[in-house]
Amino acid sequence: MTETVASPRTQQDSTLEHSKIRVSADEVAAYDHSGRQPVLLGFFIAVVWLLVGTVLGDISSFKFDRPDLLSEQAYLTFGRIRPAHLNVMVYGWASTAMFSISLWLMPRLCRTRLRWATAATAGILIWTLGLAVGTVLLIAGYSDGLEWLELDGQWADPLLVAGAALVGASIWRTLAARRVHHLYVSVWYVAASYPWFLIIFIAGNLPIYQGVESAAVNWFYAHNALGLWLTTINLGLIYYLLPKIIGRPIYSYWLSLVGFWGLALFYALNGMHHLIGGPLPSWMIATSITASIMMIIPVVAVGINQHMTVVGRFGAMRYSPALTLAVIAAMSYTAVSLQGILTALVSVNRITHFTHWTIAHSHLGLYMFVTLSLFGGMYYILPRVLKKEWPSTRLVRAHILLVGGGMILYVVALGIGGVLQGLSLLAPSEGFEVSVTSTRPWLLMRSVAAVIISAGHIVFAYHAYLLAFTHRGSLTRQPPFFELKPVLVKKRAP
Amino acid sequence: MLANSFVIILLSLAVGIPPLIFLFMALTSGQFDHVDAMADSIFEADEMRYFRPWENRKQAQQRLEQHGGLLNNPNREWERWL
Repeated sequence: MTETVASPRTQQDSTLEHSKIRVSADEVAAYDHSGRQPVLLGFFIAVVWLLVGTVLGDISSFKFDRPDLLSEQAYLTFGRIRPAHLNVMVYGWASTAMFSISLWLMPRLCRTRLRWATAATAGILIWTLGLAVGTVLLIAGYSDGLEWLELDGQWADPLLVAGAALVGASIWRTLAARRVHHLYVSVWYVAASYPWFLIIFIAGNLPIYQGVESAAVNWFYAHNALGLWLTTINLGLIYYLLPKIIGRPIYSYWLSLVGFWGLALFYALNGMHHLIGGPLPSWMIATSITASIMMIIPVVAVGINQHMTVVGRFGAMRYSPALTLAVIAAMSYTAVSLQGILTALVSVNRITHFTHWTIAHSHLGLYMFVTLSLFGGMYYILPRVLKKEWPSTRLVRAHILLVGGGMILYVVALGIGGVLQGLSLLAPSEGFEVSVTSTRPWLLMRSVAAVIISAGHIVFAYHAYLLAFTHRGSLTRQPPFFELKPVLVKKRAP
Repeated sequence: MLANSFVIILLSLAVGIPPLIFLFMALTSGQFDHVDAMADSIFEADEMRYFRPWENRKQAQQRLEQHGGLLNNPNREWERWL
């Protein structure tokens, strides 16, 4: 049995006998409490953005079925609503929830209270203000015109940079004040994400690029925003949640390090594969395809590691919604990464480029991986921060079945529709109209899926409201590890 | 062509070189020693002794042998939702 000892006071104290260091439940509760304000604020704002982004996404989807829908006003046209949906979901929902998850994880893993919590709170508010300004301007017709970088460079982007920098400062200050020497793999992922995001976001928004260079930098940013921001924090969360809930350490800690360092060293050049066939230097495309294929090493390392941690214990998913969502998210990460590597191959890219396949692929990544991971994180974190349990298992069930089922329908329908569209576009005997007609039933199925997913979001938001603002969550039942009750086996007398 | 690529080369280096430096720093500071212990470091005292309702008898026995007498989870965390 592992010996329980007091937590080390300094980094030096912890360099040896790490296996004997066990933190007490009270200490963990104190770490959670230290970040309570920014964590709850971030989650609250994220859920609001989730609902806003859902409405924008639904309208965008319905416009494919009825192109004249809401087209009288310029601000309701597809060209404004669709980028607003993307930006609200990426920067509003996902990034804000990721702030909260980072601010909750770091004190636990660094075994110290959250430092500069006020700066983190201010950062979240400034970020939100920047996004609100950017979204309003976007809908009003002011766009920078680059995918994933549409938010106004003068009024919105500086606020986003300041917000992320403040949250990042709190994360890195907490890291600097850590009371353990070794860094758990989740710390690597979370801490690295903030400088990476600031570098790529500032670089992507600099108004100095022209022509081909601009397109190359655009996809350098967009792809790295996915791989070095959205992916990293969620992988860090999954590496924490899976072993924690199942109650056994990660299958191979070495593999988890291979996954992180592989991503850190190989990922930066991946983005150019979005421009296959474009007027870029051939070495650039070839390098990007090579880097994309090399990503198979960290992806498979992460996939094997996460699968082997859970294997034999999949029944645990029926007992923990957080685990269920984390497992589905982990599987989706492997799936979307392998799909991305496949799509980077020229022969596949010829068919899928400029089709709805790309939208299916991005939703597999941004929803099935990122969003489900974030939902899982919220199911785990909120009861511990609020000291209340989720009030209703029926609402949990409804939420997960709606969003999971809806998104499977979404990805399958749009994936098939995209391939059919691509094949039709390549057929010299078929007119462009045929490619449009062939996708219509699949787009309708996408809209049905979008409605199902939206219902799931409403259920989740309502449940989160019940948890946070009412007394329906059982206040008497503490979250785990607050009390210990021996059963089953009593200690033998010496 | 190379002139158009210059920015991308610089940006890739800006993103890729710092991890390489951090990797060497981590190696020299012993971050990759005691990796098995690191994997255990996220668990709280007695957390591994919680009886998990989804584990079969063999798995529960294994937990008992490795971590000592099992303890019950006193809250609803593992109430079945599906």
